Amino acid sequence: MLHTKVAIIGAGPAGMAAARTLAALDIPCTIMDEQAAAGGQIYRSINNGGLQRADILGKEYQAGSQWIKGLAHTDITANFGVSVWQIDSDNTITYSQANSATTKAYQLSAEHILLATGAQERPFAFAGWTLPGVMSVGAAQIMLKAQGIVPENAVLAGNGPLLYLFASQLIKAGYPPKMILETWSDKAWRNALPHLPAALGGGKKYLWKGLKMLAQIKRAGVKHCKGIRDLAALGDADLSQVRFTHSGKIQAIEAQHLLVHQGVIPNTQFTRSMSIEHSWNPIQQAWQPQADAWGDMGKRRFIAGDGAGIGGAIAAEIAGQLSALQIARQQSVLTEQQRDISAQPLQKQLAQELKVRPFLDSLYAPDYRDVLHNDDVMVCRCEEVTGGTLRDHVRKGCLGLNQSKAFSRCGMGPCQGRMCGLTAAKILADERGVDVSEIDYMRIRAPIKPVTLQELADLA
Amino acid sequence: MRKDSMLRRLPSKPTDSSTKSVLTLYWYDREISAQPNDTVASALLLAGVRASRKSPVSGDARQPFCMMGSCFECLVEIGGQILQSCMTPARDGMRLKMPESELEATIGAAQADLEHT
Repeated sequence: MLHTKVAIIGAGPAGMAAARTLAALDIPCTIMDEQAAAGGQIYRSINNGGLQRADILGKEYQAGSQWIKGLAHTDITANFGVSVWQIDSDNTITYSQANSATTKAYQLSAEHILLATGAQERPFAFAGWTLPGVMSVGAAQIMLKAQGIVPENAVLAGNGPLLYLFASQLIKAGYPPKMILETWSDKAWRNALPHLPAALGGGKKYLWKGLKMLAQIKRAGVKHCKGIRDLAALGDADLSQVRFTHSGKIQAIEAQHLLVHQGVIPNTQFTRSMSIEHSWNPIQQAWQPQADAWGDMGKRRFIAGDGAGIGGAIAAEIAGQLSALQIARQQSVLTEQQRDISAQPLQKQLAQELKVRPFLDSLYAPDYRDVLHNDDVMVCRCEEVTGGTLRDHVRKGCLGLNQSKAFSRCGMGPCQGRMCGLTAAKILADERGVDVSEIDYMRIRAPIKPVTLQELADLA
Repeated sequence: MRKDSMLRRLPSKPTDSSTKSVLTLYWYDREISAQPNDTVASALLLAGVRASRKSPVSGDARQPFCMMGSCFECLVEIGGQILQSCMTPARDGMRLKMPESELEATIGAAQADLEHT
């Protein structure tokens, strides 16, 4: 078995920043990522083609270059194309890596583990979302970053800052979207306004950027419908029409690409599989692992970045550094005083950086009204389970997602609940008349990615 | 698909050497060309293959949804192995098809379940 002082899983902003801080303190670390190169989703492909499109992707994207450069250090072992699928209680990491001909499994033991596994897009279930032609905005943006591929005449639907950002990037690329269909949650502005002063205090640059993107969308003449309901993707073999209700009228438009988004949530597959306690964040409308201000989850396991709660790329970079400092403290490389001297300016920056979040999180809260009112919507894509089936099982006594899983197979397909868990929890809560925080999430077990018997045999 | 609603590859800059070589992949017998930065999923989508998998439950066509390894809708049989095509870099000569064994395995299991009940 291989051994490392600190294993960092995920080479996005949090992981890269942590690696650099550790290396500066002469602590060797191994940073691993499932992707073929560093950058995470936010700085995806920045070193292999992405910068070719820097004018489209913007300054924030280009800023990732400095972090990638920081990985070139003798104390940092970077290992890409690595799929970690199990973390044991003794901090043994099991992963698979494709070599020239086969995929082989390996194990690595670490004194400390830092999860920097980031976010995923919030599952957005609506009528027809499994039709070919429908994909997430994040997916389309990955294709723009990594491959320079753009959709012509796309319809963008849902909500959240990424919707505006991607629309503005498509405009810059010369392929403006056909239409933006924006959902708004109930009382979004009323819930967001109390957080506006804080947002103005710390997040003016983000608010300004948002306004600029909205102006750009308007200038480009992109039709922008606000407050749509009843989104539906229609077509026989694949998408041909998008239907929605706007100002009380049902409308239908022709479309071959429907890109949907409803914000991002922490990716909790690892922390769940490690039996770490999770708590419901009511403002972010998502579960997050319990950790202290350093990202310490106990037993020499840390988490930094969006996986610990959504804060964005800059906050993730700061959090990664803070986790690294506390790991250095626990490894007796830093005294408490040395740690605090380095940490204090970072903590100030982080507090400032997070000031805009409650406003954004409330304003762009997900709108669950449609999926809660339409029992025919498929909630679990893998096993094709509808909201109506889940409600029926609640009436038969299913109180939590594990029972629903046993009754319906919801969450049992290859995605292991990544695409349905949150929506299913919302439906169970609604049917039971309780808050979603009271719903037991489904048990996530290793392997968190499918492995072959050969890979298991490699370990024997 | 309508001609004005395709996926398009933006022209690369002359300084970008990574897009110079062209790879050939095979979706069944159909030749698909790809660039070194492509994943199997991006190459298939750009070539207009919108249904690269069928739901093992209903048999309905599915397309990659998340492109970052979460949704598993991009599963494709690549050289005999069922892999997430969005996480698999495109390589010259790859042979690709729908993951039929995934479908057969599930249908087989369902039939076995029925026989036991």
